[in-house]
Amino acid sequence: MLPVRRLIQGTCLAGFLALFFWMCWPYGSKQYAEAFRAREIVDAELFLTLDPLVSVSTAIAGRMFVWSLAAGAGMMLVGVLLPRAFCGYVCPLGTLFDVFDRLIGRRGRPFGRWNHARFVLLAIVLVAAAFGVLLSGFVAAIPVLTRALLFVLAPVQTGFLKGWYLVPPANVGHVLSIVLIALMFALSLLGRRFWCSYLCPTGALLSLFSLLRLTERRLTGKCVKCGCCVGACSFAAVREDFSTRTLSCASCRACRGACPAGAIEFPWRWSGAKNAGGVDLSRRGVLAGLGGAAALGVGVPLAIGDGIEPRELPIRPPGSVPEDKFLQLCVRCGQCIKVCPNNVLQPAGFELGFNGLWTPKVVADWSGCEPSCNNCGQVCPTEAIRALSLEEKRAARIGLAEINCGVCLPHVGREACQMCVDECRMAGYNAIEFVRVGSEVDEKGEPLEGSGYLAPVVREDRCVGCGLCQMRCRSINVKSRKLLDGSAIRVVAGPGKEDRVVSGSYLDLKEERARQRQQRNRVEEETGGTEYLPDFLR
Amino acid sequence: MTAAVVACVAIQWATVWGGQAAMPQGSVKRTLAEIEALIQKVGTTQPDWWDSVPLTYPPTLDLNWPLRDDGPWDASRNVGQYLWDVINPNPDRWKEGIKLVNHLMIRHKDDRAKLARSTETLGRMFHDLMEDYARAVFWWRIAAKYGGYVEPIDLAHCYWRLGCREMAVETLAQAPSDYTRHGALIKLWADMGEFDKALKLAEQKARAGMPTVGYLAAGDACRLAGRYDEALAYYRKALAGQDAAGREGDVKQGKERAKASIEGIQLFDALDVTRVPDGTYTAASLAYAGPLHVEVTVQGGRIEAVRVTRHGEKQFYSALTDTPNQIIARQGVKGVDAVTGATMTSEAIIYATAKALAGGMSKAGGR
Repeated sequence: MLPVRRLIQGTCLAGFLALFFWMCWPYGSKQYAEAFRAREIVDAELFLTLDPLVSVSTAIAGRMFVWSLAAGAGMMLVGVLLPRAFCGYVCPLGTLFDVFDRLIGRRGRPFGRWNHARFVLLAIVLVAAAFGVLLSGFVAAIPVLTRALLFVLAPVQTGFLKGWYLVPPANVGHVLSIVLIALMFALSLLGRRFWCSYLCPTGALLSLFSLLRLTERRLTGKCVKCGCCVGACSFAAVREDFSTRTLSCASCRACRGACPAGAIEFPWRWSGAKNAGGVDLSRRGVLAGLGGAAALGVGVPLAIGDGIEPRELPIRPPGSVPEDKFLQLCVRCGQCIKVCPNNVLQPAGFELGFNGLWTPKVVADWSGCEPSCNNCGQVCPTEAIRALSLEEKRAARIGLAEINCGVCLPHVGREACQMCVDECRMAGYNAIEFVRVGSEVDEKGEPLEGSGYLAPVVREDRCVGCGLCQMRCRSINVKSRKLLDGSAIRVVAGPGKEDRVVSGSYLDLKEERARQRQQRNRVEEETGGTEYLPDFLR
Repeated sequence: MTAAVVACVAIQWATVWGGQAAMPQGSVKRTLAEIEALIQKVGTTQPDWWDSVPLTYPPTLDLNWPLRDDGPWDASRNVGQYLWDVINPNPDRWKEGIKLVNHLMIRHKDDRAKLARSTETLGRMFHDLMEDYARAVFWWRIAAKYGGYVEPIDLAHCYWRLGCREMAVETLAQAPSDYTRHGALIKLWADMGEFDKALKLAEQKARAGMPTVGYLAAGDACRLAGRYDEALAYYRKALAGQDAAGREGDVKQGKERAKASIEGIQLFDALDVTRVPDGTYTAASLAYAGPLHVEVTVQGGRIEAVRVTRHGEKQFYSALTDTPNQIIARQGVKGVDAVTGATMTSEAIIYATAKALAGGMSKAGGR
């Protein structure tokens, strides 16, 4: 018989890796959005949306409908037909655990009631979400794996294919994330797919849907009590008496393959004899678990709610929803960071507080946001970054460039420099123009031609905060020529400087601002307006 | 502050961004009657962009625009200083600048002196920024009617560019000698093909205490006519000249330009691309805003690419691509036209390319 499950698992893992490394590799064309669209035959964030905990937790935390709920619901419906099929067949993290388990030769070993710890984790995540704090990034299967790939293998990909100097430096967030995934794999030393069997809250959520299952594992009278099925099971779903722990079973059917007597079947739930035994839950256990979970779920948000005030306001990707909502919706998977050309987006460490850990922020000292790219919004599974058309993206302000006139070379009269102006013009924003500074005048008070410098000025009505100017000033004046300690032009975020909305058009916002400006500048009409050739001259 | 203030820098900066009304020199010929009809027709019609450009200016601006302002330099308050500091350096503000001046003209229509200044400024802006010569003449004539001063050389330039040589020559009768800072009169005569007249005026300017600017203009005239030996001689004279008049900075810049021209021209004759080995060569030459670097790629005895790698030029983006393209098309630097309004930038590209190729040849000779 074909190893159907292994084939599906292999396909899913390969697909996941292809989406991550091939589809989300932004290079090859300068028309980033176009090139990405051409590659995106299926959604790059497919697996993230299939992880039901991602959409459920963000929807609860953000108190809004996120479209990936539909994908998650689809996966749960499959789970009704084939309990925890996501874990048994789809989850690439699970498949990697299987590979790892095979490598270290671990056999299944049940830890009894421990397998309800995952429900406690799930409860913590959901209670915290109800209080507006999103913890799923720490524990949900696909975000954890995506971020691990981002931190461990994406730099290698960039290093070999583009150059190691393009790999941004790591921060404490990287370390934490890598430690987390390393721990998960280390747990496999205790037993096969230990994480999946005992701790994974995504699996726990799917298990809840197993309560509605239409099929289930069942033992027939042919059982010879050999115990092969216990050793074959990766999910601790077989009890000591070889009956089924139904909420744990992932429908992988490894036990049936291992059974020498052909005593295991997967019939419709209501056909034939009932499964022996129900759910292994003691009242005390449930109460203790839920109580503890609730306490933690409430405690963590309280603890970090009053935690560190961020030292700086982060510059978020274009199309990011308002910051509080952003923190509730961003699942910290890092997919946007992977698909961002030149690593403009980088994960925060603890500088934004605990709540900002792993969230994407624009590091304009490193690189600027390309006007031909809208990739980040396209891959966000939870609409923390809205999917924008290129036109909308070019109108969405993520910050405002500000010039430090105390250090800018022409402003202080050191030398002519127009790199930010050129860069902005090339990007098509034309948001930096010249002002002549330090004009000398002759005896009559007339300015002398060629005296003084042309210095840059930012036009607030045009700047979107892409940061290309900052990157250019830094790479030339700071790093290459060592004239300055830091870029003389810097993008700053904050109220009035960025557009953070949950819905609506950024182009409309821009138009509205222009209209208001026009109104402020309106000129009195009694002078006859601005007729090109007034009557008195005709 | 007068309208003349608006001019200066903009003279060097024209074409690329604003101009649509300009005709290439000599491509259209018009009679006096046709010119007058054109000026009347175009001058009285508002530009096509007029209604789509809103009137905007900083709220701090003093719209009274006093004729005399003894306060400190403040571009956010003084209109003339605002035009100089903010409007002139930014091509995409030129149109709103014109609308502002137009607005002020109407605002102060009962003040004859202010009216003269506004209309003079409008003519200046249409001439320098937009290269719209018909409207420039139109507004300057109104300015003259109200007692404003209009430079005959500028008017003549307009007539020449509009296609009527006779009107230009007639107007230049009012300008018997070149009294300009950069030899604009000499340059105009040379452009009009009056080579001898240009040289005579240049000699005159040199004798009048401005040899650097005078001989430099003469050298440019000769070079444009393809008379490289004479050009070299004039450039050398420009270098040697002792200036009694003129501004110190102008003299210094003029001498640097003369030197760059000599270096460039000396390379012209010896150049033979077919003798340059394959490779990429770099060199620099002096442009308007400092050194301009080029990178020339030669393959199989052909100039494959000319790339401007570093420059400080503000506006002349068309020169940065047009001149390299001409060099590649001609497979050499001789006879490449300078882009109007960007002469220094074009020249710098030509000279730097010549230097780079010469460097390649000497490498071959050394083998």
